Amino acid sequence: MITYEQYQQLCDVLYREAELLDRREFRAWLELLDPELRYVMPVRVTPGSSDASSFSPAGRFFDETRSSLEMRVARLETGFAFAEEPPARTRRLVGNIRAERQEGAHYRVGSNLLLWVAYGDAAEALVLAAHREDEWVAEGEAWRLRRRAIYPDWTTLPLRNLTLFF
Amino acid sequence: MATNPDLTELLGSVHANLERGLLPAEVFADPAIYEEEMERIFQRAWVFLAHDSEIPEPGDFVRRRIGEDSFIVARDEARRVRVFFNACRHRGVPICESDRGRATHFRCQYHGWTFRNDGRLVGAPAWAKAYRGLNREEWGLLEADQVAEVHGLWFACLDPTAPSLDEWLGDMRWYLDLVFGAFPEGWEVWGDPHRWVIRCNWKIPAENFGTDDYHLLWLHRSNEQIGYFQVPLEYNMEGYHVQAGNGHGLSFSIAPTPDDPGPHYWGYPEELVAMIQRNPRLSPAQQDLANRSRVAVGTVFPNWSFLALPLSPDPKTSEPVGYMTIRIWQPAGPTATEAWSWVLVPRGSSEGYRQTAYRAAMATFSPGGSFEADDVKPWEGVTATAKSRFWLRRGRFYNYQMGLSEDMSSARLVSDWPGPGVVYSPRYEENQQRGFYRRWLELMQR
Repeated sequence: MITYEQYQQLCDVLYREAELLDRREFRAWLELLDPELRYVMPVRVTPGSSDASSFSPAGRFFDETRSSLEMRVARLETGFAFAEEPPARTRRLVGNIRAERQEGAHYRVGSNLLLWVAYGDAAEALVLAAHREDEWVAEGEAWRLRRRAIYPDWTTLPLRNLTLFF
Repeated sequence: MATNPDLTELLGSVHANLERGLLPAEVFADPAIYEEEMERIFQRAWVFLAHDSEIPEPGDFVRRRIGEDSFIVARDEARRVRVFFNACRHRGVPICESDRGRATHFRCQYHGWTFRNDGRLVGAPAWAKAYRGLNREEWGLLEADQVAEVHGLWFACLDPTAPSLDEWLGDMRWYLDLVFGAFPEGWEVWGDPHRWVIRCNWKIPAENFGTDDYHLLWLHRSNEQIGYFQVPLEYNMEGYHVQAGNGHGLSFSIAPTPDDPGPHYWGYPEELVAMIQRNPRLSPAQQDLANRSRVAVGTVFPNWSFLALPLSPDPKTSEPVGYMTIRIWQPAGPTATEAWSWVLVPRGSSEGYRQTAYRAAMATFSPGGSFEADDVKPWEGVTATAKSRFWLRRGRFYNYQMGLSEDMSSARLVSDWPGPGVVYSPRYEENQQRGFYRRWLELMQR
């Protein structure tokens, strides 16, 4: 169980995170990440039977630490990360937020993400959908993301590349 | 020979210009060219489908494509690998929608015709009343005409008159023996493949992996700036391009001497290097090349590529480690390609190596990888221009002239290379990329 105030704080941090990413304020986003962060996105498959998991046991689109995410941000800052020159425009909608307290100041937070993305002057945009399972840690007034598993709803990524953060 | 007069003329134009280093843009977007490729290339070529470790046990299957057609690659109860067209013989409804799985039988959703994993029709609802007189032997699943493997890499060919896989591979076989045969116990795939859609013609990534190293100097600069390269980029170009026959080609970044300080053995860690050194199946020439290899990257015509090199999952905190990735450039219309990518790890390698190698591959060569994320965008640009009426009228040709003559570039034919094929060094040349289209043209005009 968590208090309504704690729930509100967690909703707020998820919305703030989405806003930072949409504004491409990646350095500020990195501040939300715990040094021990593990950030993974498993590959999804259409399995052979309905009771089998549709997530690959070892396949990942991302398997990141805070340091490797910093490296991705540093690459975007070089001005030569051509995949993002000009940068993608994104709009993240976070919903279905459910939270529960674990031991101490650790909170398990599930959310759904709709990520609208458009490149250049292309008329068509794409919406990517994923479920996220997070662990957030309260540090005084601040919240830090300790773990995030992103469960995408695609098996074949409909984009040419994946230079977005989820 | 093509019967469409416009297509005949177009192919004639490719023929007339290729040896001058010019490639007409229609090759990358014209629907008639694409249709002809589906017939003359993909109905005849040996096409890569799966790695043996994806289907280790009887009943295991994966779903793959040849051209745009869906096929099931299955290991039957007698352990034989079979490649079935994914359609019920009754009315042609696909019988498998899973990416992978294990099944003794495949059953059609429409009327319930049921096939064993060796392709045999075994039954259908109310058989005695409905089909008492039907000869089951004649109505089994359709199978690819030829199926064969090399180093656990399974290929299929839909042409019963095509040469064997070995003959098709030509000189490339020697290099597959070097790069994939390096580990005596072979490989296994790690995880399920990445799949993603690129709005480009399928030949563009195939030729990129088939010896376009020149793009490294500019397109991948961001990686140089964040500390990804162990060897300065210009020095890295001091490697070799190998034309391995039948349109196949590969490129080596290679140390000039066995004691060069840069990476050796594709950057594999010591315990894996020891496995290579102990491998009796590698000839002394292959052992020498393995020792000096920093990077090997190549394409087996038409649409299968591989890349072995050392990179780090995070250059600030971890050392580069050698890894192997393989790709299918799956045609999905004239201007779309579905990329499939796997990471292979040597059998017997440690869990720690596997984790690091996979993370390194994912951080660099994957849809989110720091190299590959940038590669795909210009490929879409090449394709978009191929549709331009103005370009077709005024410019029309893409430039493939690097290394066309000794006046053009610093690349020279190499006479003392220890392996087969036609070899150039340094890597400032596009002979093999022209060679890819020479082979393409040969099949398109035959």
